[in-house]
Amino acid sequence: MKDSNPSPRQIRVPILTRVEGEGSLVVKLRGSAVEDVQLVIFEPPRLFEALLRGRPFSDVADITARICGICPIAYQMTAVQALEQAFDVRVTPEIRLLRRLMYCGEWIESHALHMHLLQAPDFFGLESGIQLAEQYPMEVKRGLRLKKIGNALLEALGGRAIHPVNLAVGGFYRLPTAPELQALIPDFEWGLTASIEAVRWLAALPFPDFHCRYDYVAMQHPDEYAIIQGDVVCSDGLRIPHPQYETHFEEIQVPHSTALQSRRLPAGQPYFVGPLARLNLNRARLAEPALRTADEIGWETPCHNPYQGIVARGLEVVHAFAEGLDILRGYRPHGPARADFTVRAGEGSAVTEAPRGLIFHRYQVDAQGRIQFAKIVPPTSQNQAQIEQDLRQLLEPELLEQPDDQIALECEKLVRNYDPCISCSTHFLKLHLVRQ
Amino acid sequence: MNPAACDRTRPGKLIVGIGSPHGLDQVGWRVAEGLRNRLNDDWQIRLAAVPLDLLDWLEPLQELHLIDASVDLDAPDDWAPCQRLDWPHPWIAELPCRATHDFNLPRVLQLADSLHLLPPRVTLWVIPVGDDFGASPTEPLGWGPQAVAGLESADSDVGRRGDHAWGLEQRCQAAATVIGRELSPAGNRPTTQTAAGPPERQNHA
Repeated sequence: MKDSNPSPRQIRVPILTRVEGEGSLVVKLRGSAVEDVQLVIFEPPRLFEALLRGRPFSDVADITARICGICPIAYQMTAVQALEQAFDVRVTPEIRLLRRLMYCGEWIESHALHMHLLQAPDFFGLESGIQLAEQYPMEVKRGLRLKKIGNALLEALGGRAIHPVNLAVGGFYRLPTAPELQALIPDFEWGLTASIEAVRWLAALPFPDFHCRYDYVAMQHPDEYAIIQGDVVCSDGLRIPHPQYETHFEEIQVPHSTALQSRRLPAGQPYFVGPLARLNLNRARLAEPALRTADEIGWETPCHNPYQGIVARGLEVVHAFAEGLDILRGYRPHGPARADFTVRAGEGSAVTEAPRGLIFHRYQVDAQGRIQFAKIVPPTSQNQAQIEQDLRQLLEPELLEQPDDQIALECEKLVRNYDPCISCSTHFLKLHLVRQ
Repeated sequence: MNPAACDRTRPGKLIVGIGSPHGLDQVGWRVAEGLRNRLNDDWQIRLAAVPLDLLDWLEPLQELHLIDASVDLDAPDDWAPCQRLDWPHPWIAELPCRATHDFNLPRVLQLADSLHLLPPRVTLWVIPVGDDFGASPTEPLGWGPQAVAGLESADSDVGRRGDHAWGLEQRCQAAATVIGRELSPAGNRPTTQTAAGPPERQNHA
């Protein structure tokens, strides 16, 4: 006779591995029913928004870069663009192109790391990138070289790969010389070919048969694969200019996480940001080599299998090398490094596409250019609720019959699809002050 | 200039300081920087913010020396300004390291080893800094009498200054002196520089 009230069972992944930052998973089960799934983020809040208040606007790019060592450009770029909106600064087309190039460098280094050392081991039943390196040394070395080229580009444009220092409101502090960028062309030519080979390797991985009808959210631009400019679009057809972002998306606090979780308004449903969302919404705008590679491997959109995000990352690396190579070949420095502007009181916001997905910043500044208010919504915060929803779907009766260790491992693999950056997401803590 | 510095066909020698500009985490960088004047042009010195940076720099090398701070070095001779661990010393895998994406220093070295990227000689120099991570460089770090006595016997150039509370600067100088002497045998040092003298005493009122 079936027990009508089976005893509870709890699956714990005490520390998520191969992700940035510190988090854990708790799954509460009763019989074959999933009672609760929590992506528990216990990394202490880092309070970046509060740290920015009262600081001069020129500090913002340097401070926000510290939110993440893997994707500092995303924070810097979004911050300077938001402040440029506040000061009504128009950057030149040359600066805009260099900024796209810089972002390509960050996509390359971040995606190459995740593809080869963080997620790929999951598909071979291996515990780590070290084990993968023993079995697939050529592929791992190729991935490391791809990553190195991304870092080299960031060094050339930003002064250094980790927390670059060259991006400024209005442009750059210094434009790179033509020889500095042209020196990267041979590496980018190699990288374009190597990244296509990497995609072919990834496309042959054994992907789990797991599909969800996701609500994808990404930027979209009529003329390019959106990275630093464009409307915010959703797979259900919503299209909004970025200043309306907060009208359609909100952050909420959940008790089990020091990071805020984002939901779509008005219904409050989770949504999906990142390479898979971008590819599904913008495939036609990929650079030709990436589009050709997607066709060659038979990668169809819309793709609703989150494990295929590793292929989406690979295709974006191909795109970044192709676009980067075009920019490098055509680069002739001219014009000012920075646009002139007058500091004034105002408010500005911006969205860009970080490696892990859409990122939103909004700032208010006073007449002296000091920050009065800051809001930063990183991609991992936006994906958290979706991750929890995915886990609920993953935990079907067939999987629940497995030993706890196996269930935990499958949950971890699913989380790694999102390449979560927990350190990025724990930048804020909502404080309730009770006065008696 | 040393002719060897121009010989790009010869595998190089690389020193990497690991850390950041902040608090006690800056120790790795400062010790590495402190070696610039103590070694000749054969040596390349780089600063890494995360151990993963290393993987970008492992072109053919003769030697790789890594310098990092440790808040919890439990070694028999932990009075020394630095602890030398030659790869693959079993302690390296046990070091209490943390880093982005789980790629701490031991794991990065393991990965590089798996890919046969490591040079014949890899040495990790660990600088014990106590557990007050984030302390100001001007604050005394509180080496005890045993540590100072040990340091005096280890290197006569790094003298005792009366109190036992050395600041971060002195400790970095001490470590750089010891490492510099190890890496730069007599006759292989810069001709214009001498080994560092005793560190200046700081007033800790």
